[in-house]
Amino acid sequence: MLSIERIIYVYIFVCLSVIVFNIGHVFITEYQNRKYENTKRWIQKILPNELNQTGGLLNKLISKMASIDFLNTFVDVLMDVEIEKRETYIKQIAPSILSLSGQYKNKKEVIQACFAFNLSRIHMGDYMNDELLEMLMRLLSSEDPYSRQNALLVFYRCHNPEYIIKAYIILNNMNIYHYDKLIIDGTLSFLGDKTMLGYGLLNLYLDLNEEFKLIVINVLKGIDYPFYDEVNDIYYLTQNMEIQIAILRYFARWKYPPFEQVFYNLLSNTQQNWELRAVSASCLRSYPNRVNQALLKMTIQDSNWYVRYNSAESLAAISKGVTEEQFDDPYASDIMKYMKQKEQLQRGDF
Amino acid sequence: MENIKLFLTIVEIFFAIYLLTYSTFLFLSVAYGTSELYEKNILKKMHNELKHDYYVPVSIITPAYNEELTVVDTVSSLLACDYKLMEVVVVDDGSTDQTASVLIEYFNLQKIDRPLHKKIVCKPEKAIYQNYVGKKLVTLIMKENGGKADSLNMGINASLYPYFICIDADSVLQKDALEKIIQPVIYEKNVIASGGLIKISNGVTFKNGQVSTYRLPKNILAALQVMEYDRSFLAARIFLDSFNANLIISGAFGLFKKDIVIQVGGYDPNTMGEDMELVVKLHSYAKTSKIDYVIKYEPDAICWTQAPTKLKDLFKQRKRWHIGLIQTMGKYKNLIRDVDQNPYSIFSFLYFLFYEMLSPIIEVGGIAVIIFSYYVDLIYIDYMILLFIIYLLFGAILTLTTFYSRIYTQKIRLSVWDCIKAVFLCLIESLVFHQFILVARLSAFFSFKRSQKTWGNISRQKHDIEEEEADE
Repeated sequence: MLSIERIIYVYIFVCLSVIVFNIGHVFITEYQNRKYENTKRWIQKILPNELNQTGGLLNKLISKMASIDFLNTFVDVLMDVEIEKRETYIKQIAPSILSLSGQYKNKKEVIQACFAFNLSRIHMGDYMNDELLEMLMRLLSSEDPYSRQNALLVFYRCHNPEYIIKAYIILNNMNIYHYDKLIIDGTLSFLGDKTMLGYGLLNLYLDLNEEFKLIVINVLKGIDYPFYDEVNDIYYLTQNMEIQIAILRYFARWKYPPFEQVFYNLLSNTQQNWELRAVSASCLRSYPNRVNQALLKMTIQDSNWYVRYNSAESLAAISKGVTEEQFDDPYASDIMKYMKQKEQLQRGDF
Repeated sequence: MENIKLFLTIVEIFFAIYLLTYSTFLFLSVAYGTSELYEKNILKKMHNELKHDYYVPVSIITPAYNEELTVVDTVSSLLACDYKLMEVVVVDDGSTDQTASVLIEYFNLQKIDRPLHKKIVCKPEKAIYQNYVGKKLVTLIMKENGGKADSLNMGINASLYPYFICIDADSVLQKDALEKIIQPVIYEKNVIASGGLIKISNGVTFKNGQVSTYRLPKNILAALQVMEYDRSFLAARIFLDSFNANLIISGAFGLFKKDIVIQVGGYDPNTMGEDMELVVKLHSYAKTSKIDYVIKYEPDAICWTQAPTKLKDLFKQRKRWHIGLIQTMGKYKNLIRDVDQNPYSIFSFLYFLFYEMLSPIIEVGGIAVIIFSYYVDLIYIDYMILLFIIYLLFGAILTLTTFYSRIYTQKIRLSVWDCIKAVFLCLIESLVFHQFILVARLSAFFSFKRSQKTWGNISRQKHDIEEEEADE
């Protein structure tokens, strides 16, 4: 029994140490906050002269930036400067900042990722050198999603599509989970020529795994340029239903008359997979004409809930004259009535 | 006499193992939880986060029964969250007060004829109201009374998005809570559920969806629950989370993947602990179906809820929770046989069995043995007292450790008086509060068979919310 008592004493001692650590941490955080504010004030004071190239403190600033806390504060202050002045200044100091890569590449990964995050904020990807690229590619291959994401941010916020394409190849080969929506929306925030990026991704398409193929289709959908023929060809090549659905949605966003028949055929064929039919019903609202309206009036009475629901939604959107009274089928009538009410709610004139 | 001695020796060994295991578990949990929070804090400071403007679309389901005092604040707090793709579904489970009318009036909801696709069986709806608040859809479903689980099932049927969040109608979400609770889905593949951190809102003032003033509640019962919640949500949950062995996601705030919840048949309306039952059911289903899955706990997703301030309400609440626990443990006892499928969740199951469900019986048994030993003059009083004091101190220190960990990681400012108060509260919590909860839990064993699936409502107060500052 005595040994239990001793074990409990040890536990109590460790817990007391944790309490002391926690209380100590409160004071350390307070000290760090004050330090941050002081540093911020100092940078705010000297920065106007630096922006005008009359300060002469660049070397001092760069040497201080070897500390991640200072770099964080410096970039925070810089982000408050008006955009044109900031960009001109960054252009001037870019080589000096890039020289920090050599120091940061030997630090802990969490600090390297923070360094990458700061570089992304000031668009340093446009001034990429080999050392930085090597570090970013290493972060991209990390097991840690935060490191990967911060490396990707540098690539998204620059003008060279090659880096993103390289990043896709690495992530694809790693076969690791990186949330697809993060990649899609990140890629769409790319600052360079997105059409060129789109073609770059299309060239890569066949070498990618199914998850990345799906990502590429969704990226293409978001680019303000129609890749009609290329995406159309992919539709007929793929057997993957998720990719097929993504392509259906692509042609709902990018109206392409030759593809209209695909929607029609899918929706009118009751033997088809219900998901493809339901998505087709939804997409047909992008192709408003009598033939499609007639089909939607039929499929609003479909046995599948989702086909019925999406048909009603499309019908309400494209044919203002259609009312619930026109349907004998009670399900069709109910759902049409609801869609009309929902539209009124959205317009705010219920 | 020899037999008595033998009996007492066996009991002594049992309790020695029982208490040492429990202390070790708590100790490891607190140590691990504290270090995890510290690590998380560092990552945040170093901008190692997965920030994104367009998150996973979620439906927020709020079941409500006689919540006229708090329901508008709750829905307003949801709509104020920094989250774009969401809808709110309030399910009024046949309230006898003005729950529905206050919502209809405040959000200008309109009666509509919406057909529902009922994938989970639930009591029928009486009326449906909807409106868009900003771009966010708010739906109110008035239905026949069927209990909380039944209301949640109705909410799932009416929800539009692939993930849903359940939140109690007396709770307030912190502004970034939705963004945080979805983090596990972004971070990891196969996340089917994630639970948030529940904190006591008594004594707290909110402004713009953030805590503006934090005070320990004046009501001692609520203040004791602050300490208890902090320990429970820091200690066991973070530790068990690392083994994918959490068996509870609080009904007050949890996120679930809708399709898998529908596959398991939704919430069970025949249990009083529908939140735990669903999580255990998901574990069980995923294992038997050989589905890769993760159930996560996200300590940065914070939901503030009201604690009962009356002994009677607290007693009822805890008894109800324990009945739910007994029902769930009984229903899924087969899990213990599937030890080869996930040994960690079996460990968790055993923890809940011995240290949660059976603990009132074991503890009362221990007290009975002490009295008996005293009666037969086979007890070392001095040693007993020493051991009791050590345990009391240990429990109090553990609670205090978690309390301070929470304070600094959530950047809450405490007054000196509250810091001192916390020390006393930890002692009272171990010395008195724990025993009270023990009695409430014990009473559950005598009434769980005749328990009714009613709402365990407690008396409510309005949340302390300051007026929002106008956007510049």
